[in-house]
Amino acid sequence: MRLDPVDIAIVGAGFGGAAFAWRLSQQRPDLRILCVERGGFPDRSALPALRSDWQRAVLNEWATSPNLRLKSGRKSASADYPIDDTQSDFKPLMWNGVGGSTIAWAAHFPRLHPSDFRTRSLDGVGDDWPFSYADLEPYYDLNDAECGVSGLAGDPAYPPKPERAMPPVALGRMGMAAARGFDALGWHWWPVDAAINSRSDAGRAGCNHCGPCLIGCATGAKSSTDLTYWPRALGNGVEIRTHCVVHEVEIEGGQARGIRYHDESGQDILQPAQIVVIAGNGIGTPRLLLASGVDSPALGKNLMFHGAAYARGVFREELDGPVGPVGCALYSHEFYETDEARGFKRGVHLQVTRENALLLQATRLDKPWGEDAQRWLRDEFRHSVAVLVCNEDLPEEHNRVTLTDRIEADGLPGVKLEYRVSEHTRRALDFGLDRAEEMLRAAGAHRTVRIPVAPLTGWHLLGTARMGNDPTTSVTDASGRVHGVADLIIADGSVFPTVGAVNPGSTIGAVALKFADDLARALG
Amino acid sequence: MMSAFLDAVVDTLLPGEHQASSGASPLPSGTQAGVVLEAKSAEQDTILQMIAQRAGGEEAFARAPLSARTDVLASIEKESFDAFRTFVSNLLQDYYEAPSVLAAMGWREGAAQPLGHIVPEADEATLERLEKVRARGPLWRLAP
Ligand SMILES: Cc1cc2nc3c(=O)[nH]c(=O)nc-3n(C[C@H](O)[C@H](O)[C@H](O)COP(=O)(O)OP(=O)(O)OC[C@H]3O[C@@H](n4cnc5c(N)ncnc54)[C@H](O)[C@@H]3O)c2cc1C
Ligand code: SF4
Repeated sequence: MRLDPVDIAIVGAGFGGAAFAWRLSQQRPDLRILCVERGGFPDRSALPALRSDWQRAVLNEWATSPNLRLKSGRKSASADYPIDDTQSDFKPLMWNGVGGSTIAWAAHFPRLHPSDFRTRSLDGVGDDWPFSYADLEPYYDLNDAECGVSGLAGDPAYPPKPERAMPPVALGRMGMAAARGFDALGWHWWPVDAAINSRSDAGRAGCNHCGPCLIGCATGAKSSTDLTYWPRALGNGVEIRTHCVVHEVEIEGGQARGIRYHDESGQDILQPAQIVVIAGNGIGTPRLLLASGVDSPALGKNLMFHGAAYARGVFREELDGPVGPVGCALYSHEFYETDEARGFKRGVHLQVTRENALLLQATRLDKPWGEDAQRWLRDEFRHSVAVLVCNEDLPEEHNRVTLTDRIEADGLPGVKLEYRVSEHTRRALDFGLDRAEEMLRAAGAHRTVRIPVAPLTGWHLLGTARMGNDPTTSVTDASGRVHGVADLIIADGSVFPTVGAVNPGSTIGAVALKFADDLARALG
Repeated sequence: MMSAFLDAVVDTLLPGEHQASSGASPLPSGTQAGVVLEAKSAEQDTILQMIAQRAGGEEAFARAPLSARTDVLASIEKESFDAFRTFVSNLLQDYYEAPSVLAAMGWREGAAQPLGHIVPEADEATLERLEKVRARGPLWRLAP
């Protein structure tokens, strides 16, 4: 079936798609803007946190990995597709539905540093972004205002940021113990910026510290784009079609003409559009574009996750247990910028995270059964502090997303990841783990445990359609426009040329807002 | 399969505690917490059959001391890691959601919402520590 044309067709209602749709609809209310999303709106009244068996949902239909959700055999609210991750050291995590991965995210909301945009010029590694921190700064501010940020201005690790809308989320005994450790060593630490309401704001409730943010936030305190950008975009007249899987971008004579999708009933629909915008995330976007015959040499390559490892400290004093926003307490950027003496370039981010629910903690033990496991758990539960070590993963062509020979149930070719932890990342993670253990001991931990690589940390899917000026090494220009295909834009995490060492959400939103403004200007 | 055998498998995986430190009530064993091995899947049956075979029969396994039962399970885990861990994970889900287990760990049973939890805000000493960080001045690197 062929429908009447729209001006703009956006694929994917996650972070990038939502921010782009809202901003463009605000700048250009005259345009007919449509977003097509494979999943549905989350039903907040059916979230597992409202049930007594919520812990097991974390391992099954609300697991962070789409592969685990599919494997569980339970009905999930996420419209998943399988990903062959057998050749990937990190397992890809995401949510497929309106809100995208912000439904499942921890809402830790750091910005990149100015140096992250200039790694080639400053340190001779990675690539420079085609714009600077200063260029993106107004969009960071706008994104903060739209998402709602709790935090504390004045962090010396960053250029000055505006007053945060709300005070920081409560640090808890665990956060205070970590602050004691950083302080004893004279290291930087600061309460995180969190896209979480620490008190009620903008029509959303304040966080009541229930704990399991990754299974959806039942109070709505956690910012996700179904609660922030989407209601405003819909109010501006944007249309969203849910449960529709886009399987092809129609490209004729080097120009995007529209999209083809299957609707919920399985009907194949051609939606002509003047401009097509893809925001399917670092895996969904290259999958769709490769399947549509876009042959940019960099497409699918340079997949970056951020290297991730954990150190855990066990304390005799009683701490908080699995309460409060799991990823949001405090962090240290003492070692964020390059110091050649460490034996690697760029840096590490140390993020103090809260305890997991009892069941998850039990299943994550090296050996989760028997007397020893129960002894460990007794020792650790309500007595531990975890430090997530993230490093700046560098772009490497062999880390990539490709298509398989299979056609999956959603009508698209299967997708496969190849990703290996590099020597650079290994060195950076080991350095970060040493520092994390040092801090934990200084804070009073009587025992520390290291998880040198944590496979289920593929939260950040980045770099597979990178921006740049050279079409042989990049997929889009500085406005997200695909080189060599007119009227095709990418507006999600896949456009990052490099990734810094921090979570990407805040930058994905800011970049999508910038791209929307660039397009609004180009349209005149 | 004999219920004594099935119970012995559960209690070898989840033996509980005889006593807990610092006055907490001890963790119950799997069966004390109400975990029951029910017919679930062919994969589970295969693991159970392997256990019985390795131990010289269901009765022999049920009568063996904890250390010997643990050795049998460890050898099956080594041989069929993924299947064994899936089997364990299913039992852990029943066990660590059991009210008596949560209570023994000093935790609240039931839904995470709508009650939530109280988390303490930064105290005076922590805020003073933060001021020291602020006083250090900018740490970030200038980039054009
Ligand atoms: C468990 C978890 C925790 C995280 N924690 C943090 C954090 O604390 N801080 C942070 O900054 N980041 C975090 N992230 C990462 C962050 O959520 C993502 O980086 C961000 O949401 C990505 O935005 P995006 O627009 O690139 O893609 P997404 O938000 O993933 O959106 C992509 C959308 O496209 C849709 N789609 C894909 N293909 C198609 C198709 N063919 N047809 C129709 N629709 C399609 C998908 O269904 C999805 O809704 C976390 C992620 C996860 C999974
Ligand atoms: S801890 Fe707060 S932000 Fe996280 S799910 Fe609970 S209420 Fe929402």
